[in-house]
Amino acid sequence: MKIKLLHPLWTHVPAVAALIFIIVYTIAMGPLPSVAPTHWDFHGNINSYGSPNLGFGITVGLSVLFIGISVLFDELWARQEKKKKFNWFSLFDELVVGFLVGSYTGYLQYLKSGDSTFPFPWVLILIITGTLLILARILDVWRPYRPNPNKVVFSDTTTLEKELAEKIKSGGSFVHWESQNPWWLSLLSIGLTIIMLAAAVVAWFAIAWVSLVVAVAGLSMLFIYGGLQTTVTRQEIAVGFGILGLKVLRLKTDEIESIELVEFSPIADFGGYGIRWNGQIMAYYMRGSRGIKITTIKGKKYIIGSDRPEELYAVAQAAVNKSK
Amino acid sequence: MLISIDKNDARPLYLQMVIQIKEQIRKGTLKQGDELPSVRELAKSLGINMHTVRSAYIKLREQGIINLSLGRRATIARLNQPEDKRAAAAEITARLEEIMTDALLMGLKPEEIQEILNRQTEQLKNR
Repeated sequence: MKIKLLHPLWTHVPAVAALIFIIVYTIAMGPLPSVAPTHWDFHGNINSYGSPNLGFGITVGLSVLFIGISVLFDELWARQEKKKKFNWFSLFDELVVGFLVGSYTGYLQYLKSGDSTFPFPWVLILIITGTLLILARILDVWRPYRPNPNKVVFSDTTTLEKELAEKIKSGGSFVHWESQNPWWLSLLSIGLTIIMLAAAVVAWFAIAWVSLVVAVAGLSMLFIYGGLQTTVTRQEIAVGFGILGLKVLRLKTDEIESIELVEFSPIADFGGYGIRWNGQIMAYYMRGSRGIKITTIKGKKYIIGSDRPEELYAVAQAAVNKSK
Repeated sequence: MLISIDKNDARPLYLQMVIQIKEQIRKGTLKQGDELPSVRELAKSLGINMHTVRSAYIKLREQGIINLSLGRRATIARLNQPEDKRAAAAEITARLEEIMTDALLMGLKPEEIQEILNRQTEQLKNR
Protein backbone atom coordinates (compact mmCIF):
# COMPACT_ATOMS: atom_id res chain seq x y z
CA MET A 1 0.00 0.00 0.00
CA LYS A 2 1.30 3.40 -0.91
CA ILE A 3 1.61 5.60 2.17
CA LYS A 4 0.13 9.02 1.63
CA LEU A 5 1.57 12.04 3.42
CA LEU A 6 -1.14 13.71 5.42
CA HIS A 7 0.15 16.95 6.72
CA PRO A 8 -0.37 19.87 4.36
CA LEU A 9 2.81 21.53 5.73
CA TRP A 10 0.99 24.78 6.32
CA THR A 11 2.55 25.46 9.74
CA HIS A 12 6.07 25.23 8.30
CA VAL A 13 5.56 27.92 5.66
CA PRO A 14 6.73 30.80 7.94
CA ALA A 15 9.98 28.97 8.78
CA VAL A 16 10.67 28.26 5.10
CA ALA A 17 9.82 31.90 4.23
CA ALA A 18 12.28 33.15 6.89
CA LEU A 19 14.97 30.86 5.48
CA ILE A 20 14.37 32.18 1.95
CA PHE A 21 14.44 35.74 3.34
CA ILE A 22 17.86 35.30 4.97
CA ILE A 23 19.34 33.76 1.78
CA VAL A 24 17.99 36.64 -0.36
CA TYR A 25 19.05 39.23 2.26
CA THR A 26 22.61 37.84 2.38
CA ILE A 27 22.87 37.93 -1.43
CA ALA A 28 21.47 41.49 -1.46
CA MET A 29 24.12 42.55 1.09
CA GLY A 30 26.78 41.89 -1.54
CA PRO A 31 30.11 40.13 -0.96
CA LEU A 32 31.07 39.75 2.71
CA PRO A 33 34.62 40.47 3.92
CA SER A 34 36.88 37.39 3.89
CA VAL A 35 37.76 37.93 7.58
CA ALA A 36 35.36 39.37 10.12
CA PRO A 37 34.68 39.09 13.89
CA THR A 38 33.04 35.77 14.69
CA HIS A 39 33.05 35.67 18.50
CA TRP A 40 32.55 38.18 21.32
CA ASP A 41 32.74 38.24 25.09
CA PHE A 42 29.82 39.04 27.39
CA HIS A 43 30.39 42.77 26.93
CA GLY A 44 30.28 42.49 23.12
CA ASN A 45 34.05 42.87 22.62
CA ILE A 46 35.63 40.85 19.79
CA ASN A 47 37.71 37.85 20.88
CA SER A 48 37.88 35.84 17.63
CA TYR A 49 38.05 36.41 13.85
CA GLY A 50 37.11 34.14 10.95
CA SER A 51 35.05 33.83 7.79
CA PRO A 52 31.53 35.34 8.07
CA ASN A 53 30.35 32.61 5.68
CA LEU A 54 30.54 30.22 8.64
CA GLY A 55 27.55 32.01 10.23
CA PHE A 56 25.63 31.74 6.96
CA GLY A 57 26.38 28.01 6.70
CA ILE A 58 25.30 27.37 10.30
CA THR A 59 22.09 29.40 9.87
CA VAL A 60 21.02 27.66 6.65
CA GLY A 61 22.20 24.18 7.65
CA LEU A 62 20.56 24.17 11.08
CA SER A 63 17.38 25.76 9.68
CA VAL A 64 17.00 23.02 7.06
CA LEU A 65 17.68 20.34 9.70
CA PHE A 66 15.11 21.68 12.17
CA ILE A 67 12.48 22.27 9.50
CA GLY A 68 12.96 18.63 8.47
CA ILE A 69 12.61 17.37 12.06
CA SER A 70 9.52 19.52 12.62
CA VAL A 71 7.89 18.31 9.38
CA LEU A 72 8.57 14.70 10.38
CA PHE A 73 6.98 15.16 13.83
CA ASP A 74 4.03 16.93 12.27
CA GLU A 75 3.46 14.13 9.78
CA LEU A 76 3.53 11.52 12.58
CA TRP A 77 1.10 13.68 14.54
CA ALA A 78 -1.27 14.17 11.58
CA ARG A 79 -1.47 10.41 10.97
CA GLN A 80 -2.82 9.91 14.47
CA GLU A 81 -5.26 12.82 14.54
CA LYS A 82 -8.75 11.63 15.36
CA LYS A 83 -9.98 15.24 15.18
CA LYS A 84 -8.15 18.45 14.39
CA LYS A 85 -5.83 19.32 17.26
CA PHE A 86 -2.93 21.73 17.47
CA ASN A 87 0.52 20.19 17.59
CA TRP A 88 2.98 22.32 19.56
CA PHE A 89 5.86 20.44 17.92
CA SER A 90 4.93 22.13 14.64
CA LEU A 91 6.29 25.41 16.10
CA PHE A 92 9.68 23.85 16.74
CA ASP A 93 11.14 24.99 13.40
CA GLU A 94 9.74 28.55 13.73
CA LEU A 95 11.38 28.83 17.14
CA VAL A 96 14.81 27.68 15.96
CA VAL A 97 14.72 29.34 12.53
CA GLY A 98 13.48 32.59 14.12
CA PHE A 99 16.44 32.61 16.51
CA LEU A 100 18.99 31.76 13.78
CA VAL A 101 17.61 34.22 11.22
CA GLY A 102 17.32 36.98 13.86
CA SER A 103 20.90 36.42 15.03
CA TYR A 104 22.33 36.31 11.53
CA THR A 105 20.37 39.37 10.36
CA GLY A 106 21.74 41.27 13.38
CA TYR A 107 25.24 40.01 12.51
CA LEU A 108 24.94 41.21 8.90
CA GLN A 109 23.77 44.64 10.09
CA TYR A 110 26.71 44.73 12.50
CA LEU A 111 29.16 43.93 9.67
CA LYS A 112 27.57 46.67 7.57
CA SER A 113 27.81 49.24 10.40
CA GLY A 114 31.52 48.59 11.09
CA ASP A 115 31.05 49.06 14.87
CA SER A 116 33.69 47.64 17.24
CA THR A 117 31.19 46.04 19.67
CA PHE A 118 28.40 43.64 18.77
CA PRO A 119 25.13 44.28 20.59
CA PHE A 120 23.38 40.87 20.56
CA PRO A 121 20.12 41.45 18.60
CA TRP A 122 17.64 40.16 21.25
CA VAL A 123 14.90 42.55 20.14
CA LEU A 124 15.24 41.58 16.47
CA ILE A 125 15.23 37.87 17.42
CA LEU A 126 12.10 38.32 19.55
CA ILE A 127 10.31 40.22 16.78
CA ILE A 128 11.21 37.69 14.04
CA THR A 129 10.55 34.59 16.20
CA GLY A 130 7.30 36.04 17.59
CA THR A 131 6.05 36.90 14.09
CA LEU A 132 6.89 33.42 12.79
CA LEU A 133 5.14 31.74 15.75
CA ILE A 134 2.00 33.84 15.36
CA LEU A 135 1.89 33.22 11.58
CA ALA A 136 2.36 29.48 12.09
CA ARG A 137 -0.46 29.39 14.65
CA ILE A 138 -2.79 31.30 12.29
CA LEU A 139 -1.92 28.96 9.42
CA ASP A 140 -2.66 25.96 11.65
CA VAL A 141 -6.16 27.34 12.28
CA TRP A 142 -6.66 27.53 8.50
CA ARG A 143 -5.20 24.15 7.65
CA PRO A 144 -7.76 21.48 6.80
CA TYR A 145 -8.16 18.27 8.81
CA ARG A 146 -7.61 15.16 6.72
CA PRO A 147 -8.73 11.78 8.01
CA ASN A 148 -5.96 9.21 7.74
CA PRO A 149 -6.41 7.17 4.53
CA ASN A 150 -3.54 4.90 5.60
CA LYS A 151 -5.56 3.70 8.59
CA VAL A 152 -6.00 -0.06 8.70
CA VAL A 153 -9.09 -1.50 10.32
CA PHE A 154 -8.72 -4.44 12.66
CA SER A 155 -9.70 -7.73 11.06
CA ASP A 156 -11.96 -10.31 12.67
CA THR A 157 -10.22 -12.57 15.18
CA THR A 158 -13.11 -14.93 16.03
CA THR A 159 -11.89 -17.87 13.92
CA LEU A 160 -8.37 -17.79 15.35
CA GLU A 161 -9.74 -17.46 18.91
CA LYS A 162 -11.97 -20.54 18.42
CA GLU A 163 -9.12 -22.51 16.88
CA LEU A 164 -6.87 -21.71 19.84
CA ALA A 165 -9.60 -22.45 22.38
CA GLU A 166 -9.94 -25.94 20.84
CA LYS A 167 -6.19 -26.50 21.11
CA ILE A 168 -6.19 -25.37 24.72
CA LYS A 169 -9.03 -27.76 25.51
CA SER A 170 -7.09 -30.65 23.99
CA GLY A 171 -4.21 -29.84 26.34
CA GLY A 172 -1.76 -28.55 23.72
CA SER A 173 0.65 -25.71 24.30
CA PHE A 174 1.07 -22.59 22.20
CA VAL A 175 3.19 -19.48 21.96
CA HIS A 176 2.84 -16.16 20.19
CA TRP A 177 6.23 -14.50 19.80
CA GLU A 178 7.14 -11.36 17.97
CA SER A 179 9.89 -8.80 18.06
CA GLN A 180 9.84 -5.10 17.35
CA ASN A 181 13.41 -4.35 16.42
CA PRO A 182 13.50 -1.43 13.96
CA TRP A 183 16.70 -0.63 12.04
CA TRP A 184 17.09 2.75 13.74
CA LEU A 185 17.34 1.08 17.14
CA SER A 186 20.28 -1.07 15.98
CA LEU A 187 21.87 2.02 14.42
CA LEU A 188 21.36 4.01 17.63
CA SER A 189 22.72 1.23 19.79
CA ILE A 190 25.85 0.53 17.73
CA GLY A 191 26.39 4.16 16.67
CA LEU A 192 26.18 5.57 20.21
CA THR A 193 28.45 2.82 21.52
CA ILE A 194 31.12 3.62 18.92
CA ILE A 195 30.84 7.41 19.50
CA MET A 196 31.01 7.06 23.29
CA LEU A 197 33.92 4.62 23.18
CA ALA A 198 35.79 7.02 20.89
CA ALA A 199 34.99 9.85 23.33
CA ALA A 200 36.25 7.67 26.18
CA VAL A 201 39.58 7.14 24.39
CA VAL A 202 39.97 10.91 23.91
CA ALA A 203 38.93 11.61 27.54
CA TRP A 204 41.44 9.02 28.83
CA PHE A 205 44.29 11.47 28.24
CA ALA A 206 42.52 14.19 30.25
CA ILE A 207 40.56 12.63 33.11
CA ALA A 208 40.72 8.84 33.47
CA TRP A 209 37.62 8.37 35.65
CA VAL A 210 35.45 10.37 33.22
CA SER A 211 36.76 8.16 30.43
CA LEU A 212 35.72 5.02 32.34
CA VAL A 213 32.22 6.40 33.03
CA VAL A 214 31.77 7.28 29.34
CA ALA A 215 33.07 3.83 28.27
CA VAL A 216 30.67 2.03 30.63
CA ALA A 217 27.78 4.25 29.48
CA GLY A 218 28.72 3.55 25.85
CA LEU A 219 28.87 -0.21 26.36
CA SER A 220 25.54 -0.14 28.20
CA MET A 221 23.96 1.21 24.98
CA LEU A 222 24.56 -2.24 23.49
CA PHE A 223 21.88 -3.62 25.80
CA ILE A 224 19.12 -1.87 23.83
CA TYR A 225 20.22 -3.79 20.71
CA GLY A 226 17.54 -6.36 19.92
CA GLY A 227 14.45 -4.24 20.66
CA LEU A 228 11.29 -5.52 22.32
CA GLN A 229 10.08 -9.11 22.30
CA THR A 230 6.51 -10.06 23.20
CA THR A 231 5.69 -13.59 24.28
CA VAL A 232 2.22 -14.98 25.03
CA THR A 233 1.82 -18.47 26.46
CA ARG A 234 -0.91 -20.24 28.40
CA GLN A 235 0.61 -18.96 31.65
CA GLU A 236 1.74 -15.41 30.95
CA ILE A 237 2.12 -12.39 28.73
CA ALA A 238 5.68 -11.10 28.85
CA VAL A 239 7.69 -8.34 27.22
CA GLY A 240 11.47 -8.68 27.01
CA PHE A 241 13.90 -5.93 26.14
CA GLY A 242 17.30 -5.70 24.55
CA ILE A 243 20.02 -8.12 23.67
CA LEU A 244 19.60 -10.03 26.92
CA GLY A 245 15.82 -10.21 26.63
CA LEU A 246 15.37 -8.85 30.16
CA LYS A 247 11.72 -9.14 31.14
CA VAL A 248 10.33 -5.64 31.59
CA LEU A 249 6.74 -6.84 31.88
CA ARG A 250 5.39 -10.14 33.15
CA LEU A 251 1.66 -10.65 33.60
CA LYS A 252 0.11 -13.93 34.69
CA THR A 253 -2.90 -14.67 32.49
CA ASP A 254 -5.11 -15.36 35.53
CA GLU A 255 -4.37 -11.82 36.83
CA ILE A 256 -5.78 -10.20 33.68
CA GLU A 257 -9.24 -8.69 33.75
CA SER A 258 -9.67 -7.67 30.10
CA ILE A 259 -7.87 -7.27 26.79
CA GLU A 260 -8.86 -5.01 23.89
CA LEU A 261 -7.49 -4.10 20.48
CA VAL A 262 -6.42 -0.47 20.44
CA GLU A 263 -4.97 2.16 18.17
CA PHE A 264 -2.88 4.81 19.89
CA SER A 265 -0.76 7.78 18.97
CA PRO A 266 2.93 7.23 19.87
CA ILE A 267 3.65 10.97 19.78
CA ALA A 268 0.44 12.48 21.15
CA ASP A 269 -0.36 9.79 23.74
CA PHE A 270 3.11 8.79 24.92
CA GLY A 271 5.54 11.30 23.45
CA GLY A 272 7.68 8.83 21.51
CA TYR A 273 8.69 5.18 21.20
CA GLY A 274 10.09 2.61 23.59
CA ILE A 275 8.91 1.88 27.11
CA ARG A 276 6.62 4.79 28.00
CA TRP A 277 4.44 5.94 30.87
CA ASN A 278 1.78 8.63 30.41
CA GLY A 279 0.59 8.81 34.00
CA GLN A 280 -2.14 6.20 33.49
CA ILE A 281 -0.88 3.56 31.11
CA MET A 282 2.47 1.84 30.74
CA ALA A 283 3.21 1.22 27.07
CA TYR A 284 5.73 -0.99 25.27
CA TYR A 285 6.32 -0.50 21.54
CA MET A 286 9.10 0.31 19.10
CA ARG A 287 7.07 1.04 15.99
CA GLY A 288 3.51 1.27 14.68
CA SER A 289 0.44 2.57 16.45
CA ARG A 290 -1.63 -0.55 17.07
CA GLY A 291 -1.60 -3.17 19.76
CA ILE A 292 -3.52 -4.52 22.73
CA LYS A 293 -4.55 -2.84 25.94
CA ILE A 294 -4.47 -5.02 29.03
CA THR A 295 -6.28 -4.22 32.25
CA THR A 296 -5.35 -6.31 35.28
CA ILE A 297 -7.65 -7.33 38.11
CA LYS A 298 -5.90 -4.71 40.25
CA GLY A 299 -6.81 -2.04 37.68
CA LYS A 300 -3.34 -1.50 36.19
CA LYS A 301 -3.29 -0.72 32.47
CA TYR A 302 -0.69 -1.69 29.86
CA ILE A 303 -0.39 -1.28 26.11
CA ILE A 304 1.73 -3.69 24.09
CA GLY A 305 2.42 -2.60 20.52
CA SER A 306 2.37 -5.20 17.78
CA ASP A 307 2.90 -5.62 14.04
CA ARG A 308 0.18 -8.30 14.12
CA PRO A 309 -2.24 -6.97 16.75
CA GLU A 310 -5.12 -9.27 15.74
CA GLU A 311 -3.01 -12.39 16.27
CA LEU A 312 -1.63 -11.05 19.55
CA TYR A 313 -5.17 -10.20 20.71
CA ALA A 314 -6.60 -13.61 19.75
CA VAL A 315 -3.81 -15.53 21.47
CA ALA A 316 -3.87 -13.35 24.59
CA GLN A 317 -7.67 -13.60 24.74
CA ALA A 318 -7.53 -17.39 24.41
CA ALA A 319 -4.88 -17.59 27.16
CA VAL A 320 -6.93 -15.36 29.49
CA ASN A 321 -10.24 -17.17 28.79
CA LYS A 322 -8.55 -20.45 29.69
CA SER A 323 -7.97 -19.09 33.19
CA LYS A 324 -11.61 -18.04 33.68
CA MET B 1 4.91 -16.05 14.99
CA LEU B 2 2.30 -18.38 16.40
CA ILE B 3 3.21 -21.97 17.17
CA SER B 4 0.88 -24.45 18.77
CA ILE B 5 1.62 -28.01 19.71
CA ASP B 6 -1.16 -30.53 19.34
CA LYS B 7 -0.56 -33.59 21.48
CA ASN B 8 -3.24 -35.55 19.58
CA ASP B 9 -1.42 -34.97 16.31
CA ALA B 10 0.48 -38.10 15.25
CA ARG B 11 3.19 -36.06 13.50
CA PRO B 12 6.46 -35.41 15.33
CA LEU B 13 6.56 -32.11 17.24
CA TYR B 14 9.38 -30.68 15.14
CA LEU B 15 7.38 -31.33 11.97
CA GLN B 16 4.32 -29.59 13.42
CA MET B 17 6.51 -26.54 14.00
CA VAL B 18 8.07 -26.67 10.54
CA ILE B 19 4.67 -26.89 8.85
CA GLN B 20 3.22 -24.02 10.91
CA ILE B 21 6.14 -21.69 10.17
CA LYS B 22 5.94 -22.48 6.44
CA GLU B 23 2.17 -21.94 6.51
CA GLN B 24 2.60 -18.51 8.12
CA ILE B 25 5.15 -17.55 5.45
CA ARG B 26 2.73 -18.68 2.75
CA LYS B 27 -0.08 -16.60 4.27
CA GLY B 28 2.20 -13.58 4.55
CA THR B 29 2.00 -13.44 8.35
CA LEU B 30 5.73 -14.00 8.52
CA LYS B 31 7.78 -11.88 6.15
CA GLN B 32 11.36 -11.85 4.98
CA GLY B 33 13.63 -10.59 7.74
CA ASP B 34 11.16 -11.33 10.55
CA GLU B 35 12.92 -12.66 13.61
CA LEU B 36 12.18 -15.96 15.31
CA PRO B 37 12.69 -16.65 19.04
CA SER B 38 15.82 -18.37 20.25
CA VAL B 39 15.76 -22.15 20.54
CA ARG B 40 15.86 -21.96 24.33
CA GLU B 41 13.10 -19.37 24.57
CA LEU B 42 10.77 -21.24 22.23
CA ALA B 43 11.38 -24.58 23.95
CA LYS B 44 10.68 -23.03 27.35
CA SER B 45 7.50 -21.30 26.16
CA LEU B 46 6.11 -24.46 24.59
CA GLY B 47 7.30 -26.74 27.37
CA ILE B 48 9.19 -29.01 24.97
CA ASN B 49 12.77 -30.18 24.58
CA MET B 50 15.35 -27.80 23.09
CA HIS B 51 16.46 -30.52 20.66
CA THR B 52 12.97 -30.59 19.16
CA VAL B 53 13.07 -26.86 18.41
CA ARG B 54 16.63 -27.13 17.13
CA SER B 55 15.60 -29.96 14.78
CA ALA B 56 12.79 -27.78 13.41
CA TYR B 57 15.11 -24.82 12.86
CA ILE B 58 17.76 -27.01 11.21
CA LYS B 59 15.15 -28.51 8.89
CA LEU B 60 13.97 -25.01 7.94
CA ARG B 61 17.54 -23.87 7.37
CA GLU B 62 18.25 -26.88 5.15
CA GLN B 63 15.29 -25.91 3.03
CA GLY B 64 16.57 -22.32 2.82
CA ILE B 65 13.54 -20.92 4.64
CA ILE B 66 15.33 -19.40 7.61
CA ASN B 67 18.78 -17.99 8.25
CA LEU B 68 20.64 -19.29 11.27
CA SER B 69 23.82 -17.68 12.48
CA LEU B 70 25.71 -17.90 15.74
CA GLY B 71 24.79 -15.28 18.33
CA ARG B 72 21.89 -13.87 16.34
CA ARG B 73 18.21 -14.67 16.21
CA ALA B 74 16.97 -16.82 13.35
CA THR B 75 15.31 -14.80 10.58
CA ILE B 76 12.95 -15.63 7.74
CA ALA B 77 14.95 -15.90 4.53
CA ARG B 78 13.10 -17.25 1.52
CA LEU B 79 9.92 -15.61 0.38
CA ASN B 80 10.25 -15.29 -3.36
CA GLN B 81 8.99 -17.85 -5.82
CA PRO B 82 11.89 -19.97 -7.17
CA GLU B 83 13.14 -18.69 -10.52
CA ASP B 84 13.65 -22.20 -11.87
CA LYS B 85 10.15 -23.68 -11.64
CA ARG B 86 11.20 -26.91 -13.36
CA ALA B 87 13.79 -27.62 -10.68
CA ALA B 88 11.21 -26.86 -7.96
CA ALA B 89 8.71 -29.21 -9.64
CA ALA B 90 11.37 -31.95 -9.87
CA GLU B 91 12.14 -31.59 -6.14
CA ILE B 92 8.46 -31.80 -5.18
CA THR B 93 7.96 -34.81 -7.49
CA ALA B 94 10.82 -36.61 -5.76
CA ARG B 95 9.36 -35.85 -2.33
CA LEU B 96 5.87 -36.94 -3.42
CA GLU B 97 7.27 -40.17 -4.83
CA GLU B 98 8.75 -41.01 -1.45
CA ILE B 99 5.50 -40.15 0.38
CA MET B 100 3.41 -42.16 -2.09
CA THR B 101 5.70 -45.17 -1.76
CA ASP B 102 5.28 -44.92 2.03
CA ALA B 103 1.50 -44.74 1.56
CA LEU B 104 1.49 -47.85 -0.65
CA LEU B 105 3.65 -49.67 1.88
CA MET B 106 1.12 -48.72 4.57
CA GLY B 107 -1.53 -50.48 2.52
CA LEU B 108 -3.35 -47.51 0.97
CA LYS B 109 -4.70 -47.92 -2.56
CA PRO B 110 -3.76 -45.44 -5.33
CA GLU B 111 -7.39 -44.17 -5.39
CA GLU B 112 -7.23 -43.46 -1.67
CA ILE B 113 -3.96 -41.59 -2.09
CA GLN B 114 -5.55 -39.58 -4.90
CA GLU B 115 -8.49 -38.74 -2.62
CA ILE B 116 -6.14 -37.51 0.10
CA LEU B 117 -4.28 -35.35 -2.41
CA ASN B 118 -7.54 -33.83 -3.70
CA ARG B 119 -8.77 -33.12 -0.18
CA GLN B 120 -5.49 -31.42 0.80
CA THR B 121 -5.48 -29.32 -2.37
CA GLU B 122 -9.02 -28.12 -1.63
CA GLN B 123 -8.07 -27.28 1.97
CA LEU B 124 -5.11 -25.22 0.78
CA LYS B 125 -7.32 -23.26 -1.61
CA ASN B 126 -9.77 -22.41 1.19
CA ARG B 127 -7.15 -21.28 3.72
